[in-house]
Amino acid sequence: MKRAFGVVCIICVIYLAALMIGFYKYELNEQNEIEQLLLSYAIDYSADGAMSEALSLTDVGVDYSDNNSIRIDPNTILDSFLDIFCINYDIGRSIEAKKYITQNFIPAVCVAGFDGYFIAKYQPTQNDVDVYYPSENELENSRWDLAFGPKMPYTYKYNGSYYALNMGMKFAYDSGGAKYEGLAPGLHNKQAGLIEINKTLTKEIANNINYANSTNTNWKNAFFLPLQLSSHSGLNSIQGPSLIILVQNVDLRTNKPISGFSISGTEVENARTIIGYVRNGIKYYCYADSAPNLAQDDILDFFTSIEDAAQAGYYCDLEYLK
Amino acid sequence: MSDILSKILGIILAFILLAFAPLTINMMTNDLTSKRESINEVTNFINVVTDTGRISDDQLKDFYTGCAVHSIPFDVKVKRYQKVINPDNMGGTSVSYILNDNIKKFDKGDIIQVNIKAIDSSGSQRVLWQFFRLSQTNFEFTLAGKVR
Repeated sequence: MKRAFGVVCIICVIYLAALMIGFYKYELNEQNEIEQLLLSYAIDYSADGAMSEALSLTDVGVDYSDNNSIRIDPNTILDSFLDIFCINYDIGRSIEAKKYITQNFIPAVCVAGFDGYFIAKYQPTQNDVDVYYPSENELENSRWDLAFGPKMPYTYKYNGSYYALNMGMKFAYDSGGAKYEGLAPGLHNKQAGLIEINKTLTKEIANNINYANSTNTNWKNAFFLPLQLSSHSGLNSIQGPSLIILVQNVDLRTNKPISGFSISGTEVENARTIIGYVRNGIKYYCYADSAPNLAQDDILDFFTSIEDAAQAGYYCDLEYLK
Repeated sequence: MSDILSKILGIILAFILLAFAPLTINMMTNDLTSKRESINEVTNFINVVTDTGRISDDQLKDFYTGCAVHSIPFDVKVKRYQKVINPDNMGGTSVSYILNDNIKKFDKGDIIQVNIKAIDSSGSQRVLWQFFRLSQTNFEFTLAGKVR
């Protein structure tokens, strides 16, 4: 009887130990999960903000006949990204803090434009030659920074000749610089061209990550590239100017480093203008293309969103708002 | 004598396994849910503000209420960083963000920052402290977005 009770007690103790380990694991996983979620939100918000900043700051060069061609400035994007990322983690936006983030957490930034892409990698930007103690290795004396390189074309090889593609797929340039109207040879539709562009970007980013981790002894030549980027999934999210950013090994709030990824894209859409007018003595708003026949004097105001119209004291016109 | 000791031990173990463990696991699950819900509240709020660029009193009240109804009481701070551009004396410009108390209306390029901090211990924190003297830090996070 005594022995039987002892056995029961031992089983209980084993259960208890399992319970404690379970608690510990649960706690760890929970924290990791929450931080991963917060990191992905932080990157998304930062990338979105950076993209909108880039569009508002520079002359974006949008032509009405060509919705996809937007000029973007890569350096503004990165700086703006870092500003918002710092505020997301509530750390100061000093040069040192930003440098810490770029040096430790960001292996690759890619700004995909209409007819080419910029890629930022960690590289020497300046040589400080030490007069008194010259080093044998020139790289040791240089300043390193995450810097953008020159704009690269979306190259595509077919039958031994190279073509530079763009996202509109209306024309292409061959390696001699001559313009080639229509789809480049070998591409049967626009989607195939976009797949080529995605392939180029994916390869370039993978290369870059490898390069960034070349001194990392724990590096296993593997980084999780999300499904959106790979062309095998059949899902190509890069169809317009986008910012692709990878953030790895963030240990700002966790013991274990976590990684995140974001694609932020913009698409220029034809906005439907809202008009505000007076009908039967009441201020109404509706879309301009579905508006009733109004006298010129009745139209009082133009808006870009229905929120703005409501804010200005207009009511929705249910008869015409379609 | 040892029989009584082992019986007492057995009762304690039985209590821990039958009463304490399910209680704590339940509370931890509740905590996780309320953390998730508070993150969702904040992201929804930030999305609305970055899209529209303004916060009405009702929206703010709704947001505070939304954050207060979970099992952990939260302290919520909404901050507005106004974007300011000044000439740096080298021919270019420098962008900086200054804290502005007026959070009713945001300009384009401003950053909204929401900070959430648990001001009281949650159920599982208390239970773990009472039984094992394990202290966990209070839940806290910050998220920010740029007004488009």
